[in-house]
Amino acid sequence: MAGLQEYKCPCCGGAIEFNSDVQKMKCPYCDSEFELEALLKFDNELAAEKSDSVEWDLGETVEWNDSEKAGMRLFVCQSCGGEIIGDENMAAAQCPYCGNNVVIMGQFAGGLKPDAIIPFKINKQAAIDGMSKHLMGKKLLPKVFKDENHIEEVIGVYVPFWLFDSDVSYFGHYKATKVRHWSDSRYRYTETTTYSVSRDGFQQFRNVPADGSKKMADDLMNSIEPFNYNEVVPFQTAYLAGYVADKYDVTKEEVKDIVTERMKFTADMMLRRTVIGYNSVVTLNKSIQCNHNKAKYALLPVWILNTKWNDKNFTFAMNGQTGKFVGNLPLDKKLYWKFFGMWTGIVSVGTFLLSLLIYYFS
Amino acid sequence: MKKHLYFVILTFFAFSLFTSAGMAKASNVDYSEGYFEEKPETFIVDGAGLLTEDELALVNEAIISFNGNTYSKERNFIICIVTTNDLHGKSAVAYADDFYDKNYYKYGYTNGLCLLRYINGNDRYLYISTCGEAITIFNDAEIEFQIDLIADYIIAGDYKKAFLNFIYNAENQIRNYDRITIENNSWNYDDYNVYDDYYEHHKPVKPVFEYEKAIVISLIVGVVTALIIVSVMKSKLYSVKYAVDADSYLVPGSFKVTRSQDMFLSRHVSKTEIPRDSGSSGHSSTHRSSSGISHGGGGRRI
Repeated sequence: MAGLQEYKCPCCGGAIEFNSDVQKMKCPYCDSEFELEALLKFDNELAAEKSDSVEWDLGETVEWNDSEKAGMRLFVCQSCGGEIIGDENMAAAQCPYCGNNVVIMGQFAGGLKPDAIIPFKINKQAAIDGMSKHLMGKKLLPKVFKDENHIEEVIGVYVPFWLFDSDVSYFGHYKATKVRHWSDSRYRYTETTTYSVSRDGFQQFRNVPADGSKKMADDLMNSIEPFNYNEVVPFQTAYLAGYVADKYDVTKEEVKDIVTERMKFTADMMLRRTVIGYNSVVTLNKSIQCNHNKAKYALLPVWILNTKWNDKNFTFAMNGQTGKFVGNLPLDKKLYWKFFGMWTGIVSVGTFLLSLLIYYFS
Repeated sequence: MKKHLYFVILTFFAFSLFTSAGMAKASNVDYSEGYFEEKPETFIVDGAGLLTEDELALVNEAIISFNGNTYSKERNFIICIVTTNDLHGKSAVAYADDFYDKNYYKYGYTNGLCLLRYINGNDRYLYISTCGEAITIFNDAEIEFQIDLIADYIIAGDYKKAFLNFIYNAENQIRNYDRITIENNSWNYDDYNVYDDYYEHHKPVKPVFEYEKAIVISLIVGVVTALIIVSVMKSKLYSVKYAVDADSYLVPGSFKVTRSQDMFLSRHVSKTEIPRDSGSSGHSSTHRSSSGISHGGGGRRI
């Protein structure tokens, strides 16, 4: 019966993990590499599982208050007996005592099994290097940020996403005008011809993402898009070894509307672009119809870096597949006004001198 | 008897005094009522005594030279000038028109200009009257312009320069008007500094460099530019935002328009009148003089 799955190297017994550089399971202790198929057998038992029958090991020595207890789960590491604490969604973790990579199989039982996964392609060092690059060339960043901020954690997370497919039909009704000007010796004429324009459009969307994790900021997850879905592979729990993962806690029904809004925006723009040859166009009516909707559950790789500076927390995210690095940086107000003053001075003086030159040489 | 005689002599002296005064007044000729008995050789009558004998002869020469050019000879076009202290109850318009009609039109000069200078103490007026082709060549706006050109000389009392300039400017206007050819005017304006003075007098004044305006505008431009630059620099710090579109997830080539209809609803035409430019295609207001001849013209109190 699967409760907590540990990934141990068959050669040396060390904690084996998915290595993004070679795209295989690799043991950091003895350097042995294994194809993922070799570890498939652990997953085969998942199919038979039902999500309700997952058992948790709850330690008795730790006291939580009721609300905390509701969201928290305690796991016991089978290698060292250490207690791993996580929330109810935690699906993969490392034992903080012995470094063992564990996957909580129950999170993927039955209907909770992800349809797909994009394995990590960028390794941890690249994520840290990405941070340095992100700080380059930002003239209004406080100079000390680079030196003073401490990276509190760099974690590789498989973030649960809902990927939507839809065949979208879009209808638009517009009022458009064509304007013509001409004149003779006495008058200037303006002719306005008004048209009623309608368009029906159709387009297909594939894999529109919406993150399924409450604790992941949606705008942060939006910003690391897009992922390359050509590199999607069928899900195997082994990919999670060495990383942290959560199962979804936002259902596809809850994110459906956001996704529809995004598709609507694109469909509207595509259709509006076909109304050409007019001087002015006003939209009178529009409607959308989404058919053949499908939602896939996928785990997508994201490096999360949390740093602290000046008593403030900053969160950065890097797309674990493409390397796109995002995160808002603090503004150095003094520098801002200094540059403002400098440029005002330069341009003002320049303009004044230019006007003098023009005056004296005209 | 002696008393009687005394009264007669007194009355006689009084009478002669008045009549001499009256005669003095009567010697003030109304030039507008036909001054010449035959076709005139003089084209300037200085009733107000504004010019010396020499200046008078000079201006007359200049006019005669103008009148002798190919255009003027062909069209019987002349310029004439009259100055007076007394309009004899007529308006300046009527005086100038009559002066032209009864002294020159009568003798066949059917096209031309008449410049009238009236001055009597503080009562002053300058008027230009046009006849025949001069009405169109010198329209209302052009007349104003011609007066502008000599106004300073008139006000300053330099009548020689004023009149010589008047003749020179009038000739230029005719030349520029529809490219009429004027040749054989041998009068040399350069000798009399008319030319130089004209340009000296009408050199375009270079506007003063407005320092305050320049500083204010430079500052505004500086502030706006700096704001733009600094905003761009600030925006580089922010990379996190919500996605509003699904453009990246549109299956390429899947977009198609399944129905398209453009239906005509209505047509509307509006028109506005083009404002007429009263510059080059200007307007000449005309009237009839007492002799029934059409005249144009304009003047001002200077």
